[in-house]
Amino acid sequence: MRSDEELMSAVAEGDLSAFEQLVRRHQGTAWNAAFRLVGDVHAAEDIAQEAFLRVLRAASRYRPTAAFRTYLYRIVTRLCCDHRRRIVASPSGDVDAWPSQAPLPEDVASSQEVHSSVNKALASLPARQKEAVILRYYEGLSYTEIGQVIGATRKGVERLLARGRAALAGKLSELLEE
Amino acid sequence: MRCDRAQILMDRYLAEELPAVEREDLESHLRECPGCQQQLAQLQTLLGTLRSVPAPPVPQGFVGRVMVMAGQEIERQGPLVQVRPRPASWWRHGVTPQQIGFAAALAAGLLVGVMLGHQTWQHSARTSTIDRPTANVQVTDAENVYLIDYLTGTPRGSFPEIYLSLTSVDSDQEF
Repeated sequence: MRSDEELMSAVAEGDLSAFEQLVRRHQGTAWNAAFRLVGDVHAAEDIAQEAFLRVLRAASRYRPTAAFRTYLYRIVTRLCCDHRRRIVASPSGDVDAWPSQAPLPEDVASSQEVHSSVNKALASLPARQKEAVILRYYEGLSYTEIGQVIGATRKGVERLLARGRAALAGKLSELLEE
Repeated sequence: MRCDRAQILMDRYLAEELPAVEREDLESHLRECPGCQQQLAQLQTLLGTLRSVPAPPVPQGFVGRVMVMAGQEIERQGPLVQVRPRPASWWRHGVTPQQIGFAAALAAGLLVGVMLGHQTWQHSARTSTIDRPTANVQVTDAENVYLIDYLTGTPRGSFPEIYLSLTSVDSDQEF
């Protein structure tokens, strides 16, 4: 299996099938990060699509100074930032964007409540804290990788995460005590 | 180890990212500090709660839509392979208002410098070739005093002509 960097080289040579492989391989990465950051399925799809188109446009200038995944996260994060500037953020995550049409069993309804509370708490974080928290706890990036994505030092990431965790613990205190 | 340091390290401890020395220090602190034990348990609960929230699956047909858009992009922009010399970094990233201001200030400074140099050159040429007025002749003409003889010969009623008439003393009236 070709590495991301090899695929990017092929894309730069005009190989669209290599681009398709990259999209297939990283669609989840782009989509999940975009959804977590903007909390809206439609906006997340637009952002994920645009991120891949930017990858395509920039293929000839791409230099593998960091992992391709980090590079993609950086594009997605910037697009989400632009989106936030354009749109007044909804105070809650778009949990209802993929609702079950059938009546919910009690345990599912309860988990929906948890999801809604968590999404609201995440949405209320300042942008940089939210980016750091999502990249760390949902995308599993290291402090160094997060720093590369959001343009912060390792110490800065440490601080953002500490503040983000403290804010989330406060907002979700009722949930956490149950 | 202090509690505040321990609490910062807990996140990487749970992710098993701590180097052995720091991990052992933290574990040693945790054994003696019930407060930090509680903090660690709370952090585990918080992270568990956060991670219990799934993202919806990638929309069906996502890859196909991206590929269609990629095809359209290539139709619009031409083939992917475009070997062009890379322009200088300042040009690639655009010119900022500060850079424009700096360039304008530099150009203005150069212009003033050239004009001053030209005027100084004219003045030194004049003083070396033209006889200075003798002591018994009062030079009151602005043309001579301020070396603005380049304003002479301007049309009547023009600003330079008015300026000269205001700043010059009519020798007929004065003497």
